[in-house]
Amino acid sequence: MERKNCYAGKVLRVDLTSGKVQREPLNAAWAADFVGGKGLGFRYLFDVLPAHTQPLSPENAIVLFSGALAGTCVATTARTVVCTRSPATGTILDSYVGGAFAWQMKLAGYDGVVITGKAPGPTALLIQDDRVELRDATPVWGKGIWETDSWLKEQANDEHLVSLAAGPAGENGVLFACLTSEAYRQAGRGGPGAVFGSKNLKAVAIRGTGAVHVPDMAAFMRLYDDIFHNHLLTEANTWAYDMGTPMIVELSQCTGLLPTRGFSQGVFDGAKGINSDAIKARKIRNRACATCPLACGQLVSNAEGLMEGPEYETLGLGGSNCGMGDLSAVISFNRLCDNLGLDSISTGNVIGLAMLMAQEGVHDFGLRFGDVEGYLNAVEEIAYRRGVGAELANGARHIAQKYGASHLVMENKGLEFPAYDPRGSYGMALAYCTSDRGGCHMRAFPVAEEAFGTVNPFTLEGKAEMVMNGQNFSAAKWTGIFCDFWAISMEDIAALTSAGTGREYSEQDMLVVGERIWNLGRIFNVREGFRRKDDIPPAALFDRALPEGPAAGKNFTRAEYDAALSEYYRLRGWDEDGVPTAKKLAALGLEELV
Amino acid sequence: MLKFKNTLCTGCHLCEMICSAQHFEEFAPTRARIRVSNHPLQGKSEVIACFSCPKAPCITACPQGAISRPAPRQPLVIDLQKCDGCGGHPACVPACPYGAMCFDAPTQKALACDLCGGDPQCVRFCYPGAVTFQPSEAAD
Repeated sequence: MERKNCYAGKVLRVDLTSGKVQREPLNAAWAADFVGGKGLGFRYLFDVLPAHTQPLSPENAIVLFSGALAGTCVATTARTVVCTRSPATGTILDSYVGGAFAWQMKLAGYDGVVITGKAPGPTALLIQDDRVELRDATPVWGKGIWETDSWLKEQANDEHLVSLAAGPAGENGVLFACLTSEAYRQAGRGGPGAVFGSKNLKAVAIRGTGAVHVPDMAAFMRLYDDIFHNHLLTEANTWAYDMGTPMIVELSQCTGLLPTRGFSQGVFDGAKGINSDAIKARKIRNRACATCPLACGQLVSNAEGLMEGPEYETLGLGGSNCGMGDLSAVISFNRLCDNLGLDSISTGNVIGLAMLMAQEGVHDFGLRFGDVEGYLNAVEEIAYRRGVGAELANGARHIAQKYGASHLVMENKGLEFPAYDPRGSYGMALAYCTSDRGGCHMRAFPVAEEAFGTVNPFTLEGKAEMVMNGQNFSAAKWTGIFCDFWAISMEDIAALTSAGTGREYSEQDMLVVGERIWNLGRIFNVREGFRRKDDIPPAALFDRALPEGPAAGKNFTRAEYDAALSEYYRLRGWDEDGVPTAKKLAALGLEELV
Repeated sequence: MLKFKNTLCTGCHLCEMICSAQHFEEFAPTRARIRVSNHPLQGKSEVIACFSCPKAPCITACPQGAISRPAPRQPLVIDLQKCDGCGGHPACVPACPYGAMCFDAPTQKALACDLCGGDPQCVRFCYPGAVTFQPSEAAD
């Protein structure tokens, strides 16, 4: 029987402890309310996870979900969301990876995969259409992700197989261990690799040979043809093809918020070595995620080999933040992170912090700004938890608390800050600290309007609404799962979602879906004890101004931040401690979940 | 005919998606008449579809005489009445030196690029320009 919408209509449940595999229909009521991607990922996780589950215990769950439009031709929708309870933060976690995994998941006939339990030994979950099996992954346990991916393709005898794999860092429980897919694409943040490792799960690999349908193909293609040619291939988006994210190095440098030498500076004297011109000089070609014409991946090489990237975040944290102006060194850093399974943002933040601690005389891990050998060695030591890596693998918050560096650290809820120093764009402080997964720039991105735009970056006034709207918009956008590099309008998101699912969503409907998802994340975090006290920036944002550049001498006060946070809670319909009110939950249909 | 430039192919598979939507009204890359072979680690991809090559060995390989073309460098015509899929092991597929002849498992018929009747949709959606269209009058 032909399906009438873009959903596969089926969810796979795999219990690693018993080896039991079950298929069940997609929950239609949840699909209507949460649409897909982040929404359904959160909803299934909330359903399966008991309160206070330890992130690295067998009881934690991994929910892999596709966006509603995955498996159609719509650009950027091949992205996959990995939902779990984060070992880095203890919050709910949604970590996204590009590539082709969700595309294949949909073609294999599943909207999502819910993984629970712990396998008795090293295991790979291999999904080929209806065939689902747990394979002994002993041959690749301890091996890099690239070798693991090749091994999986050989095992399945299928070059089209797409994997999502943990590296040694995940196996060794590094709190910021990522998952890698298609060699150079990561579900980077919050430690999903460590959750895989704790379950003896080396990889999930998938291949589908089926089809995805829409209610009316002719109408769908008419709509998409127009959006593709008139709204997607415009200058607002094609920068991703031409330059990719490295072009942000110049933006951050000239606005003085490029994290430099452990966030002690906002302007990097070596920026020319790691900017988009430097990338362009090494560029071989563009590489893409499935169905995306923007092909933001900038394939480059150094003496060691090829890679897609480094992206802006890696150039910022692994480059300027470690005092590293040598692009070849940053490429080596990035290759190590990708293959060993480390989030390059957190890794660069942590190593930069360790370097700053030595410079400030706080503690000496033997790491120095600009020392290439020490820096690359530290990446390996972190992945294997040996030498200085034994401590650094626990993240910046842990190091700061243990060695007295709380005045230097840049993190929120245990998630290391990415590459936009909030002292150069104050709204980012509120964005990082009210993010559902800790210090993250992806949920709300006020820097685009502040330091990179026309809104005063050096005030918190008016930023609460900007951050809230950004978060709701992103949550709605990630039901798709549309990529941040497509500046798609909510009108187009609603139109495509309606045309794909066969349910009519207005722009306003989609924003309510976004708000509902955001509140579900908050309910989860409140259940785990997160409150106002956790939504506060690190001390350095209040007490240590940047020494030079456009943001020199700029700080906001604790009182100013408190006022902005209170305004944010009020606009959200949450109480003064950051707990959603019964009225707000009822308005969103979430009242039964608390 | 279609022209291919692998150095510009980003491995996005959009051509396959568009092709299957155009011909089968579903998104099913395994049913496409254009194929992308992707090698992410090596950072390269190859894209190919039938470009009605001069020798067209598929025509002589077909035991049913189901494949023909109206003129050299014109798209192949596959007679679906005659094509029996060779019982699941189509002779035309391995006969093609370019890997451009496709086999559609659901219908058990051979598939080759038909240029969408003269306005190839894959070309319309290939932003990097890895697949381009040269009308046959201008073909070299």
